[in-house]
Amino acid sequence: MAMHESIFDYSRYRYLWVSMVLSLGSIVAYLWHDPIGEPNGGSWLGYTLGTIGALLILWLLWFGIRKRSYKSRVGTMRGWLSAHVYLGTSLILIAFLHSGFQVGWNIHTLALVLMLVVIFSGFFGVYTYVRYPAIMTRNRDSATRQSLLDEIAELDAQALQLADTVDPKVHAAVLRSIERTEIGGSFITLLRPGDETDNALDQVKTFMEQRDKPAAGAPKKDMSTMFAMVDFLSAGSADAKSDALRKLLDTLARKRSLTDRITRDLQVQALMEIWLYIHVPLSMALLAALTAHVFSVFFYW
Amino acid sequence: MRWQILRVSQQAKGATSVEEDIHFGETLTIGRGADQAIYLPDLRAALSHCSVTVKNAGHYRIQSLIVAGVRVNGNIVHEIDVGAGATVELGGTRLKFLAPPKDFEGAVEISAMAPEEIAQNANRFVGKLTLSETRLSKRWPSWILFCGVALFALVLPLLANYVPAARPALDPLPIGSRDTWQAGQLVAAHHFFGENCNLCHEGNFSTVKDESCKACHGNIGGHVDDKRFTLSQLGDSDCAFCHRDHSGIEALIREDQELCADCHDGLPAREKNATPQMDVADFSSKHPGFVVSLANWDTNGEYKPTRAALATPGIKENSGLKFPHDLHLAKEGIQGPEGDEVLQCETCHQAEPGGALIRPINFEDNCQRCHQLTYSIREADRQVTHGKPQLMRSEIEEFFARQALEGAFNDVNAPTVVRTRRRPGQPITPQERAEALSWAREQAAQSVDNLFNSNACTYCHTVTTDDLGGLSVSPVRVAGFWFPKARFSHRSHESMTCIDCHKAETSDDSSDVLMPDIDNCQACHAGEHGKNKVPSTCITCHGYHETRLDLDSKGLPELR
Repeated sequence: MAMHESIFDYSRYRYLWVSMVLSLGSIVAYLWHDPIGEPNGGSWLGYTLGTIGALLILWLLWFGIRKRSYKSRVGTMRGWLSAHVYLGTSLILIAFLHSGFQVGWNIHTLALVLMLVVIFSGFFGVYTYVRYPAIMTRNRDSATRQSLLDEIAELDAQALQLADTVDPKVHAAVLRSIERTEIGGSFITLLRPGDETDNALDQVKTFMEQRDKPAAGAPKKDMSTMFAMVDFLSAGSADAKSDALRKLLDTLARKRSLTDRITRDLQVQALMEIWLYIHVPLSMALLAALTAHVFSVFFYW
Repeated sequence: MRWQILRVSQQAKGATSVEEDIHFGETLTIGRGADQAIYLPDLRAALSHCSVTVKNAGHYRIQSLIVAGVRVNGNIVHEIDVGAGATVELGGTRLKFLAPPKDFEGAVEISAMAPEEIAQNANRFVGKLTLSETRLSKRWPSWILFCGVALFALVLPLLANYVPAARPALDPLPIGSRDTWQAGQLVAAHHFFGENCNLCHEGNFSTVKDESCKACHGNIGGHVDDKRFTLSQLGDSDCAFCHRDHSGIEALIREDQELCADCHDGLPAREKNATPQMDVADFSSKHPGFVVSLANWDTNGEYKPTRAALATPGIKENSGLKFPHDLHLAKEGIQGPEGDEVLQCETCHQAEPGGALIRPINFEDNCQRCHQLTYSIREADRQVTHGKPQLMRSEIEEFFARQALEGAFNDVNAPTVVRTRRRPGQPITPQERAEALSWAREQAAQSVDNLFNSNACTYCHTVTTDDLGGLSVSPVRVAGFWFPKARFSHRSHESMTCIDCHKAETSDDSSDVLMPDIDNCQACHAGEHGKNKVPSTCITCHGYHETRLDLDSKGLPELR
């Protein structure tokens, strides 16, 4: 067994081969068969491909159950997922060949559309599976999420202490920033985090400008934090307050970088999960539509 | 204004002690500053964090004095009016505003939070970290979608199936009606009852029964007469095997070549030549030459056409007529009643109103204008009725009898009684009458003989005279249905001229069969997969449900 066998090359691409053979066999049969009228689900091949497709769908749905049965010894989870991905992909072709590429405003096409949405949401899942774990690892940089959160709490305490030695205004700004800091929240925040978790840096910057250049007119609002910091420090007012202020700026910058990393971490994790909220419910809708499809076809045969 | 300030502190073993303090002032200031009414030595509090004023007894206004705001009842606010019982959390301290006791305008209880609570609050900035903690769910949407689809795609249509009373309400629904079960559009002719699924479908997992089809299509026969041909291959065929509805507006009738070729290809060999059927599979590559029905009469004079391949050497048509097409179609013209005229095919051969067939030729419309049946010089317009020899004879005899009896017939050879002009009412003697009628019979016999044997009839007909002088005309019948087992429409071929297929211009004898053989058709038509020609399947010319074309025991078509 290879060291880094993924779901794609599992068991030497076993399920890629299975689905290729299945797909090619279906194509050949489709081209070879000669139905009465246009190709449709009611020819012998239509019924055959329909049966294969329906069984495949049931088996693919079974993955949701197999995934949870940790004691199961029927294959490895990686093998199941590999088969799930490859055979699920070949289902697109089988379904279209089954229907003879006919679509309409009916329950049969509803099943097809649901199936396609489920499969393509699964493709997104495969994409996240391939792309995001590496991003996540790099972003965490061998820290755990909890340690990052703990560090934020510590930095908050430090910042308050430092701010207190600078100025009540700065202290209030830092306090406000701490109260406003929010990691995570709703699913929208998780997926699209705003970066307004901490505006203490801007507040401190404004303060510095006012303190340092009281007669220099209006503060340069657009000046970036880093510039402000450099400006301030190079101004040479190296008293105890400016020392604390520099430390405070360090602390706040460190906190901002931490919150960015955590929200990115949460976002990546949310992206890796969000497709399942489409994949799973729609696969249940597909199960109902498939049942109605098969039932109606034979009920009114 | 008097404020009661109660400081609650935890003692050992869970006991608490309360220390009461009184503050005088309009506002109660809270903060880390030494000048605050309530002093909180906590870095999480600003020097002057917030102020509280009494609005009226038991009601307070809390105002934040810094941009960060103050947490009242769990929420960060900048200014809020609260009643008794409101709590303010500042760092590790909880301030609870109470209804003021007697002699006080305001009251607040201050207590330190438990260490666990402080730790918990420190993590307040941590919200829901994974999707599964949020309101998003997979379970409920799954159930809703599953049940919703099942309801609209299965339950409601089934309800309409089993409860006819519900159909008026359910069938027009855009979703949830049985209409959504339809895999495709019904064929056009079935649209008028299309909403009534149960007219064809029993709804018990059985296929559509032939009886359902025959409720309307009862007069459609099978492929062959099943009383005489027992074809196991055909016996089990349901109507629906070929006629698949819900496949579009025109798609119910099979026209593919395989419909026929599946069986007819190699059929004689398979049946060990026990069948009169021919080996047919494709119009261009495997189709026998055309066979026509030729006019014929049996010994009893009954019309019994014979079947003959057009390729038969010396094939003759026995129509009973003499008619040279070339003479009539001569480019220089032919003598007509008003001089020479050039005839076209259409002069005589006119299409039926439907355009498919050509109207039969009849003497009165097509021949008589030139070939007049006159028999008397004196009344040159007078003609006999065509087609009934006995009637013709009677007409001539009656004509001359009337001439003879009326008299005044201007012919020197006629007897006196015939020539004499009689006054009205003047009687004729029996002797004169016998003489006149004798003359008339003679004249009539002469005219009949003239007409039948030398002047008119023999132009076209074969006339025989029996021993007793009785005349008879050979029966006439142009085949009419040359190809009774095939369909052909002249209208579909209007872009062509008649002589493209019918070589009439060079035919000098009516026994020539002017029907074109298969090679003529193959010039334009090929089988279903023919390239560069009109793809034509069996159904283009032949029918499937053509029991009337069954062959009799001699392999002849039975025309019913």
